[in-house]
Amino acid sequence: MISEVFIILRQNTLLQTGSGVFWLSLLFLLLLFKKREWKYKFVYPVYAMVFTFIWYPTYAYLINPVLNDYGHRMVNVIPVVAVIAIVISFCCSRLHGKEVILAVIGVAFLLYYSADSGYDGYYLEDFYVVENIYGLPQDVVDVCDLLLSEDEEPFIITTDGDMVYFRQYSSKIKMLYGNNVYGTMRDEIDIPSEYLDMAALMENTEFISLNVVGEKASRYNVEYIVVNISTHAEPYNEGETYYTLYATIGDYAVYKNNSLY
Amino acid sequence: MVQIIGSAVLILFICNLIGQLWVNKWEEYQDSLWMATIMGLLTLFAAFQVVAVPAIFMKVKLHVMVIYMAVVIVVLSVASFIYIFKSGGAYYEHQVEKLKRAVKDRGNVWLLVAAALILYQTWYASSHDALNGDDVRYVGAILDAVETDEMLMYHPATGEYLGEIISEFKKDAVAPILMFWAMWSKLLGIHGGAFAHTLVPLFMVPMAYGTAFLMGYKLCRRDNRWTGMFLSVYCLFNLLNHTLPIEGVGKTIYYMRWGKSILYCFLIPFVILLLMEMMDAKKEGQIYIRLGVTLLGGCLASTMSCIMLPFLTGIWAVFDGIREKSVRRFLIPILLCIPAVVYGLFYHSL
Repeated sequence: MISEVFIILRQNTLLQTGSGVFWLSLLFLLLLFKKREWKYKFVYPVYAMVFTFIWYPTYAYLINPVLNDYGHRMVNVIPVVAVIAIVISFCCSRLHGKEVILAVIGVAFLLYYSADSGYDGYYLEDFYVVENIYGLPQDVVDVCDLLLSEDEEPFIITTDGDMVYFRQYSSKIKMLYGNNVYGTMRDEIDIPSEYLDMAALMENTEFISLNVVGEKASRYNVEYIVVNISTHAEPYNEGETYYTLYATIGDYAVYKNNSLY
Repeated sequence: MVQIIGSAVLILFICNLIGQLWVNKWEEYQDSLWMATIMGLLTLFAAFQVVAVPAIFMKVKLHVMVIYMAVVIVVLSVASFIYIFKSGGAYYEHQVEKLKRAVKDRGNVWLLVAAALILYQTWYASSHDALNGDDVRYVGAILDAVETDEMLMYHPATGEYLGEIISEFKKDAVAPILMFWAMWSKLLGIHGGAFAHTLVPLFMVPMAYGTAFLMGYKLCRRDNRWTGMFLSVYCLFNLLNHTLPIEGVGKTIYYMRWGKSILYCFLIPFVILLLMEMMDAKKEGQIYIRLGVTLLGGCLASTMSCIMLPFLTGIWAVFDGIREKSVRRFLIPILLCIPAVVYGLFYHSL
């Protein structure tokens, strides 16, 4: 049983990050809130939550069977940040003058290096500076404006990384398939295999044959194929073509269905 | 951008105005700007939740929800104005005086540090972004609702008309935070994507830290210096650490358009505060009403609220019952969770 407890703590990526800081803070909480009223108001409920969701026996035999997929999310009810913050701030509040500044710097290092990801709010690697109020790349907005000026409901397909953008600008833009091909809408009705084929062809950053993709897309009356030419090589489009280059806007090349010309 | 910032301020003002009706008889928080604002937002959450869930399944148009919420906002705001007027009308002047005194008091320097960190994060969340697959579902659903007037009837990734609630939309129908944002977007005349990406962080990040501040103020025994340090450490976590188990508060705070972010960063700390206040309450009836509205409004954010918030309430109810040796003090909070449990069971049945 004891080894199982440790196993779940080691394997539990849910609490690897900063976990040592949290466990120490949890112990210190007993010393910090000595009065009976505070023990009942805060300390005991926090301990109860920890023992319910992190202690292996209750988690494995009570929580998980009942809540299934949602069991591991219940860990989020534990006020981890509040517990750590109250203890650290209590210790710092006992200091005065320059000691406080040193303590703050120490706390900052402690928090930064206790994280297994080391995410830094000043440089969150996935985040980018937005170019407009829509939170979308400006080139996407320009492409959408072009398509909407041509058509009331443009019907498009696009390269894989760009699927998330276009429908966040206008609901009038329709797509043959979007990132639902990657299973983001669970339990959805089966997606036709040809959509998956097209998505796979468009994923290839080295080579996209617009003839092959175009032949498939034209059968579904797709009006435009939008290719991100900053992340993908310019599509091969010679011989029998179904789509012709219509416009290049920033990082995007827009190919229009020949039957629409 | 001016329209965006102005709208964020307007939303905060409306929430504060409505929240006055909750705090005027609450001795500990009569003067609290944040408590009023948070209770106001939760009132709007609850008002929307009660009507929106059946409305979505009955395929009611979005504009009907917009009219309904506009009426709710106007009625509650007028009621609040009348109350403020009858009390002498000095509430906001008093808040300005309080702020001036707070800034001058050297003991509050850490609160000012925390305020600076919060402002930084608010700006960062609004001016930076990282889109992922879930955003298509969220923002796509908002845009579809605003532009077609139909709620959750279009596939967010493709725009195909569905005609019924399918797949992940079942979650969004029972916890219709997306339609709440769509309602505000239509009411204010702001593009749905701009509302979700740029405007929501401007008022939800401060709201999230408002709950952390109130919880910290309670835990720190109303010591301003200690509270300021608590809040500063709390902010540093979000800036320097990927701490919370699944989603990481460090990143979640920057996605306040998501229901789960609202649950983790805003609702859970506030419910914990309310539960601690419940254990201290002299007038139990009032705190139970506030808790009830919060638990109901919390269901708007996420279907996980239907499990997490009742669980939190149950834990605290057990310890309150044990401490007071009272079955009533154990049972009443449990009964307040009934709406959340009903929503949870309904979602499970879909």
